[in-house]
Order: sequence, then C-alpha cells, then structure tokens
Amino acid sequence: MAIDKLIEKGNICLEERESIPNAPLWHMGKVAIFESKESFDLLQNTINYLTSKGKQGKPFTDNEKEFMRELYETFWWGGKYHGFNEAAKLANHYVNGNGKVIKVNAEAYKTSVIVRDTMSALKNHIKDLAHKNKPIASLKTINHEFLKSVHAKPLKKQVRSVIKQGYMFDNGILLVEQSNLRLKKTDHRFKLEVNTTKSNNYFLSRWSVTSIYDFEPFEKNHISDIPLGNGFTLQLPDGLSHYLTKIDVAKDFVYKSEWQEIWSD
Amino acid sequence: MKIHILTLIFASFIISSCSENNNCSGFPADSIQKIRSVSILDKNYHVYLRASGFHEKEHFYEIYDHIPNFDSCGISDSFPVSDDHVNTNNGHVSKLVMHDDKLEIIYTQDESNKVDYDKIEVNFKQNTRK
Repeated sequence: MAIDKLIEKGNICLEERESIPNAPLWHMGKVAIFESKESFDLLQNTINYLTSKGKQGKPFTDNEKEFMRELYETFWWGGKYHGFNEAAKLANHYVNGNGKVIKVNAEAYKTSVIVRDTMSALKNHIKDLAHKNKPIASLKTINHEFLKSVHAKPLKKQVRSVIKQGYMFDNGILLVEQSNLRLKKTDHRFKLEVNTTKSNNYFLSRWSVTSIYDFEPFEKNHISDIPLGNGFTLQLPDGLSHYLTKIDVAKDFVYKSEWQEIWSD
Repeated sequence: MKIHILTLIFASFIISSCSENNNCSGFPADSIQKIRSVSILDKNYHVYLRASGFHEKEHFYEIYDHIPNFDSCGISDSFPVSDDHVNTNNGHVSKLVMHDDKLEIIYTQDESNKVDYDKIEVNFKQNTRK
C-alpha cells in the first residue's frame, strides 16, 4: 500500500514536472483577460510544486529555473506599468543582474515624506554641530548623537502617522510612509547617510542610501500576494524567492541611491 | 520567436486590462487578512493584519469600526480607527490592546508568550482620567 502511494506520488510529480509552463506572462495574460482559471491553477500549482521542492532542498530542472526567472521578469512589466520603476528594475536585476551593485533613481527617495523630514532634521543637526565646531563630514541616522538630539524627536513614531508620514525606529532606521507605494516596494526601511562639506555659509551635502535586495527563507513563512485581476491572486512564498539564490537562478545584491544638495546656514 | 511575439501581445493585454482599473495587477501587493471582530463597549470593531512590501516585509494591525473594502493594491476605501506597526526590534508580538480609540501592540521578550500574528487576541483598556 505504501509503495503504491509512493508510485502514485511519483507519477503526480512527473506529470507536474512535464507541465511546467513555458511563459508565465502568457498565462497571467490569460487570467487577466479571459479569467482563465486553468491558467491560474497552472501557475499556482507550479509555484506550490516548486515551493515543495525548494523546502526539501531539491535541485530545479532547467524548465523550472526558466519558469521562476520569467516569473520575476513579469514583475518588470507589472512594476513598470504601475509606475514602480525602481521596484521593477530591482526585481528584474534579481534574476538577471548576476549580483552586481545597481543604482536606483534618487527621486524615489527624495519625494518621500520620511526622507524629506529626516533630511531637514539632519541639516538642523549639522548646523548645530558646525556652530560647535564639531565634525560634520559623515553622519548617519543611526548615529547615537543624532538619535538623542532634539532634531530626531519629530521623526519618532509617537508623533507621526505611520500611514502618511512613516517614522524612524529607535535605532535610526527609517520606515517609509505606507501611502508611498513606489518607495515601499523599492526599499521599505533603510538608514540615510550624508557627507557634508562647509564653505563660508554654504553646505554641500551628498545624501545616500545603501540597501540589500534579498528575501527571507522559508522559515519566516512570508508570502507575497500577486493580484492578476478578476479576483485572482497568486501567492508566492518569499522562501521560494530566497531559494532561487541557492540554485543559481537569482543573486542577492546591493542597491544604492545618491543625490546632493547645496544649502545655506 | 512566435512565443516571444505572443508574450508581447499578452503583455500589452495585461497593460490594457490594468488601465481599466486602478489596480496592482502583475506586481506584488500588500496582503490583507481579517483577524477577528471584537465588540468593545457595544461597538463592533474589525481587526486586520497587513503584510506590506515585497522583499522587505513589514506587518501592521489595523482596526476599523466598519468592514472596509480593499482594492487589489491593499488600499482600503477608508482610514482605520487606529493602526500599529509590528516593530520586531521591540520583541515578540503577544497581544493587542485598545486604549479607547488607540490600538497598541504589546510585546514580550519571552518567546513562550509570543503568538502567531494572525492568532492575536484583542483586549480593551479604558483610560482613567481624573
């Protein structure tokens, strides 16, 4: 009986392996336009099957690897269309970038409420330091002196709307305002750094953010919902995205954004 | 070659489909899960768990005094009465407390007292003012 079950499972496994879809975007289109439950089931069952293989640490076939690579490439389409240009670029880079460092458009950060407020707070802190003839060359939001300064207080959670304004954790990491879909899909939490030089009454500040693009393993049980329209939503475990780095389909990478500003005392 | 052309056609289909509604089709969106409904001082509240972001997930509890509608991006048609962010730097989530109209997550450092995010209890604590 037990052997029969094993053979049965093995046959199912073989069937599923043969039915790995070639082009996820094609099937996503069929779901979006024709409400094709068949295509939706094929996509979700494939993700479930690959999740099961990933959890067991099994290698993927070339077809399975290609499916996951193309699934990530569909995020480039979806992200681009919705204006999440930076997030689209990062998702595509995850499977095609070979782990290289990548630059992200600074507009995504500069237009954020929490980033603007933090820049303002850091500039006030820099002015204070300059007046006391203290070093201003390199500062970060995680610096203890900034965190205990009066300028950091308006960034704390107690006085802000998490949805509309975001806030700064006690350790100086910034959490993006939730209403900012563009940035929160690109970089949800990060520290802000600034290198400043002073000339007469003018300051030249070079702002930067450096983050890592990676996913949590299966143990965290995080799942990403991918709506396809018409009430269909694919569920993609973050653990599967993480597992792609173990089988050479994807690589974690560092991404950076930089901008500069001249301002006066 | 044929497959690529068809794929491009379907990509344009997705785009045209998306343009009909303001939605998040084709890209990871917030996931929303209703945790429970609670009655506090004869008023009904509805508690939701939001998993936000893609490669960097953050979790939020939101409490509404009505049942909201969420679009495919996870955006509700109204603001919650209150919400709180799960800050894992503070420890493990153990319960939710409503102080009048303010929701607060209570954390524990004791791993044996932690609960799954979607199994959390909601308590009510009335502020006493003299």
